[in-house]
Amino acid sequence: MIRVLRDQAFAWAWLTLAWVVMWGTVSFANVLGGMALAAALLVLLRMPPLVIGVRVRPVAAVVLVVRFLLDVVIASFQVAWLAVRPGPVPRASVVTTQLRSRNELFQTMVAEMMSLVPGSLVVDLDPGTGRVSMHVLDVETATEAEAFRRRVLDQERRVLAALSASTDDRPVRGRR
Amino acid sequence: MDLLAMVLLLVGSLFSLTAAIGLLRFPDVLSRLHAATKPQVLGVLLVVVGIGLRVGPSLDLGLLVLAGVFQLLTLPVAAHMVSRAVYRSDQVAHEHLAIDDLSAGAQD
Repeated sequence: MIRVLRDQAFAWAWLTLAWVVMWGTVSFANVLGGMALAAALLVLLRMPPLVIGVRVRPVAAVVLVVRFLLDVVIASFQVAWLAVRPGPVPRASVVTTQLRSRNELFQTMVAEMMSLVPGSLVVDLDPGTGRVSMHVLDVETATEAEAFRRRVLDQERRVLAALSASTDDRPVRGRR
Repeated sequence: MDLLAMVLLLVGSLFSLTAAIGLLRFPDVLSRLHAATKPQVLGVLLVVVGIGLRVGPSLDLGLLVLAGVFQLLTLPVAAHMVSRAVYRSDQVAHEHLAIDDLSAGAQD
């Protein structure tokens, strides 16, 4: 109960802050309006509790973020080059990967982060089975597909290492 | 500082340009979706940081951060919705796919 209240309070503060920032000036009207609107949003659009089984590990979190930014930069150049290089455009594949985690929050994070890295985007994600299918540029052979699956699983490993509350490698059970 | 801002803006714009070129050159919807959504990630972030350096410390900086954050949060969702719609309505150009795990496996 206290956890839920704390999460709600955090969401309320964050929505209010976003509102004030978007108006660009800190005034009574903006702050009060933002607080009222944020409260209305939280009451009217109830979200299921999502933050379950999370414990932040600072070092692993830094590794996660830095590695992600690095991936984005490298992949941005690769995809930009694919777009402008002369000759035929490469073929792509739809590659399905079996994720370890059953926690919807972590599945979403892995899918979102892989999606943000240029060259791969999510076509389908089944939270029940933990199977994520991604469309990947420039993957033509089974070997390349396997290499991509390893990248997805590495990404998942980094997400779990940074945020998962359970310390072992067993699948994390989330709320269904 | 201004020079750095200029470089960031220019490089960011260049990434957006390659996105436009990719949009024209890639053969099918799914590949074009890559071009339409991805270079924005680095492109937009560079542009946002570039503008941030020019604007200096003010509340507008918060707006820029919000723009960047929302861009990162919404892009994958938007791309996913389009790609899923494409896939489910069978608009996929299968000849452009080398491997297709989704059609190969059981699909509901």
